[in-house]
Amino acid sequence: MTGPELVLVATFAAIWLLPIGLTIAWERRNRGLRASVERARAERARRVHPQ
Amino acid sequence: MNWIAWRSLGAAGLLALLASTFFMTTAASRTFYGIDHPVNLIFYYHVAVAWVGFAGLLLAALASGAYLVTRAPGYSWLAEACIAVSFAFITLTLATGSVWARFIWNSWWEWSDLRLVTALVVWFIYAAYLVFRHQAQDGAVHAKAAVFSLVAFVSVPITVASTRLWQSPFHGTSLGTDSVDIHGLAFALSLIGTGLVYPYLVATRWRTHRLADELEAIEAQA
Repeated sequence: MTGPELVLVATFAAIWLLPIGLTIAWERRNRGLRASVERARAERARRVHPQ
Repeated sequence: MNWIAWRSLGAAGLLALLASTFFMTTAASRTFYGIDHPVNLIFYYHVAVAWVGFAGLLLAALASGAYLVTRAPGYSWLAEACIAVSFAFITLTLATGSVWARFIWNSWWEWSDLRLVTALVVWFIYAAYLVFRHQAQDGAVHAKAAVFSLVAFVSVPITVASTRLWQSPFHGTSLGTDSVDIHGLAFALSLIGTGLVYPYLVATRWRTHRLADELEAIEAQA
């Protein structure tokens, strides 16, 4: 594989990795937020209706 | 549209990009502007991410206008999400263009070329927007950010039309020229793929805003 071909492969990899990286980072953040929302809801329900 | 549908959209986009890569590497001409070089294939991604990224900025401007009229937070979230994803796409546009230029023009960057410089100006303007928009999560900042987005959008048509408005010493028009022999299917698949991945990423980012808002509302009630 020649130098320009290697550069081409690296550029293509970057093009693929950026959206995949954003997906992983933002989905992980959303999972964390979703868990926090669930915890906050449960906590509020526990306060409103104590056992 | 439920979350599985959004994810399917993203997956379909990646498949289209994969198919585009297959056609461009197996069937597309590597001769652009009379120069036979493998890095010319970068064109297929470079143009697609640029077009979709700039189109997203139009959507962001429309959402910003809608936010100023209605003050519905969803529009502010949509504008920020579009700008965040478009910023990533324009970063890719600049990076891929620079790599291509290194081999074809023997230069990473040409300050005398208006298309390159105006695209970089767009990149800086929207980087400033993202910094401004994230300084605080309140309505006043969101309203100012919406005005920022509307004013910032003026830079986009100038960049898009720069190769036709002024004589560009390096960057020619991408389409409508005989100097570029484009493989239609490879380019269409690249454009479709990018156009499907974009809304999925915007939806993911929009969901982050919605969840953060929901959490804030629950905590405020507690």
